Order: sequence, then structure tokens, then C-alpha cells
Amino acid sequence: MNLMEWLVITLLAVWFAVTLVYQLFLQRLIPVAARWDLFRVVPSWHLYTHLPKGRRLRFRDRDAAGQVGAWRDLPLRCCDRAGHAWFNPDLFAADAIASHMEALSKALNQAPLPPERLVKTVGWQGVWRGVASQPMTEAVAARQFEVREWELTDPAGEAPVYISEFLPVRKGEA
Amino acid sequence: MNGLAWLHDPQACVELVTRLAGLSVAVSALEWWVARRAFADDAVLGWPLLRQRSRLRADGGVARILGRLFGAQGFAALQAARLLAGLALLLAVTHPVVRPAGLFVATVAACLTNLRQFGLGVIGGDRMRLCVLGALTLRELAPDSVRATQGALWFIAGQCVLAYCTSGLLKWRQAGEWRQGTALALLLRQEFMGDVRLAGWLAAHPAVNRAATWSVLALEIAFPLALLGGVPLAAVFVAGAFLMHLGIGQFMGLAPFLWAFLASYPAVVFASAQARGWLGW
Repeated sequence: MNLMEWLVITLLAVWFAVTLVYQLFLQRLIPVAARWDLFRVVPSWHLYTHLPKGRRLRFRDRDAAGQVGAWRDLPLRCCDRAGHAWFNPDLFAADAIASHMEALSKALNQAPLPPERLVKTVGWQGVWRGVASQPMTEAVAARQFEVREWELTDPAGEAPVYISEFLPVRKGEA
Repeated sequence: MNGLAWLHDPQACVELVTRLAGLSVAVSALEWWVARRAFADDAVLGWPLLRQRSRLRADGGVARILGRLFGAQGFAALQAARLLAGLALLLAVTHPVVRPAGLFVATVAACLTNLRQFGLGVIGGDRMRLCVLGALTLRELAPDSVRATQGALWFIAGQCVLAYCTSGLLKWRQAGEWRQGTALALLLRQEFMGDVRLAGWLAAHPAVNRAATWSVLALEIAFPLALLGGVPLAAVFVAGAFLMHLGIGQFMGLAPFLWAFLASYPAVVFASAQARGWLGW
């Protein structure tokens, strides 16, 4: 076996061994991977091993006179394009907003953050960007959003986990 | 050379895996390109937002370079490079310069995409794609070596088997809904990434729901048998896995899994044929 063969096989064997160890001790190694594996070359194969929570994102508008509109669902469907089983660019935005909602929900559950710190979290800002990018009329002065959550085993248990203040909108965001 | 030569010829098998990896890269790059509005600087996957959750928050020379690369225009250019690399791998896999260059560009671009996203928008399919590309790129250090080629194929097959088996065993161990056979109907209840009508139908037909849920579990947990049972059994397993990903793509929208895992299947079948020869069955 020459040097290059030895190098290739050794690197692949080490990569596979590290992947195997990562699966066995995932929870303990997640912080290590987050710090050192910047390119995410060591995969986690813990795929859909827990049922996620059901989530819904709603928003409503207020005009300059203080008139408040009805709640509307932010459309989060990722998969209505023809051929989406093969080619699905709509997945990115839907998955991102869902991930931002999950991050916001986790931030609320982990430790009560004062509102001025909560609005600086990536989860909150990501959700707000998704909400603020929805079309709006010229009359809209402020927008409010609500994240609702439920266990998939108990759809009747749907409840709000976060309701924002009415936030002023910049028309450029529409 | 007949159409099934890749079953016993590692170089031919690597060629097939490389073509399929190229297809997977091209499809993925095209998806990112079409979805580029979501990556604009003021959008939900814009770099100014994602940067705050990564280790690259600090200002400095590297951060400035990455800022240019990961901003809306730079990232679109990166995806265009991925698309070209993917097409090159698909169409010119035998070219002695194009293939290693295409693999290098595709692998580096996948790493940079992972660095930018820091887990957001990167799913299991992207991880498998990086494993396949990384193994093929490392093999280019000794492209004429049969041992290195077999090593790369066994690595890819091993990652595929590990992915399914780990996922299946953990579903069984950690989630009662999978053991009880109710998980599929529940998963499909997600409005943004599911199919509420199918979820309702499965909930109304618990026997079908149980059969479908347990079929997924059985396929994933038993997938290592694909390496031991010879070519026919391996073909059954990879065909089953392909159909499963097709269903996941159709009903949950997770198309990236389909192409990324497809690229690993020839390696699984090749490894199975080789293992059968070693074991003398």
C-alpha cells in the first residue's frame, strides 16, 4: 500500500469512526461539534426521532387610526409546487421560519428573558422578518404576531406561546 | 462493458456514484438559486441574521471576507459554482481534470454552505451529500488505486447504513408513537410540512397507519442486512429506501433526501456484492 492509499483509507476510517462515536454520544458532543465542526462534516443521523410540535404563526395589522384587523395565518406550506417531491425550493423559507419559531419557543421556555433582550434573539428577529415581509396595504401602520403551539398528539391543546406588541412597519419591508 | 459492470468493478461504481452525486449537487444548487429571495440580506435566511447565531459574529478580516461571500450576491454566485460543478460531474465524469476539479468545487461549496447556515436549512440529505462528495474528493488523492476506491465506496455505504439504522433504532427507542404505529399520521399533521388530508385518512384507518409506520421502522432498522444479504437483497433495500424518500418528498416536501441518498445506493449494492464474495455465501 503506497502513502496516498494509506492516507485516503486512514482519513475515511477516522471520519467514519468519529461519525459512529457522534451518534452514540450525541447530546454530550453537540456543544463540541458546534464549536469545532464549523463545516458540519460529521453528520448526525438522529433523523426525526422525536415528534416535533405543531406550530402556527398568525399576524394582524393596525392602521394609523388604531383600527385593528383580523388575525391571518402566515402561509407556511412548503410543498404545493408541482413536482415538489423531486425539486422543492419552497422548503427553505418555510423550514427557516419554522426553525425561527422553534428557537423563539425554546428561548421563552429556557429562561424568562426581558422583552428588550428577547427581541434581539435570532429566533424573534427571524419570525418578525417573515411576518414583516408579508404583503400589506398603504394604510397599515403596525403589525402584531402570535406564535401558537400544540402537541401533535393533542391538536385541541393549541395555545399561544408568544404574542408580540404592535410593531411599527416600514413600508420597504412589505 | 455491460450495464451492471459497476456491481463488481470499483472504478465503474465510483463513476456511477460520482454522476449521481453530480445530479444531486446540481438539483440542490438549482433549488437554492430559485429560492434566492429567502437569502436576501433582509430575509429570513439573510446573512446579517444568520451571522448572529454563528461563531463568525466577531468583526475582523475573515468576517469581512465571509460577509462578501455569504451576502446575497456572493451566495448566489456560490450556488452558481455548485450548479456548474454538479453538471460537470454528471456529464464529464471520465475527464481526468474536470472530475477532480468538479468534486473539489462541490465539496468546498457544500462546506461553505454549511458554515453559512450553521444548521439552519441544512437537513439530513445535505449531510449525506457532503459525506459522498468528501469521500469521492479524498479518493482523488489516489485515483487509480483500487484499494482507495473500494475504501471510498465502503465509507459511503457505511454512512448510508449508519444513517438508516441509527435513525430507525432511535425512533424505536425514544418515541412511543413509532412503536405504537401512530407516528406517520401524527407527523403528517404538521401544516407547513405535512399533508393534513392524508394524516386524517391514516388516522381513520389505523391498520394502514400501523403498517406504514412499522414498514418505515423495519426498513431502517434492518438496513444493515443490505450489506450481508448479497446483491438481490441489497437491491430490495435500496429500492424500498428510494420509495420511502419519494413518499417523504411528496408528502413532507423533503426532496433533498431523495437525491443525496440515491447517490449512495450503488455503493451499498457494490459493498454487498463484495461482502458476499468475502463471506463465501
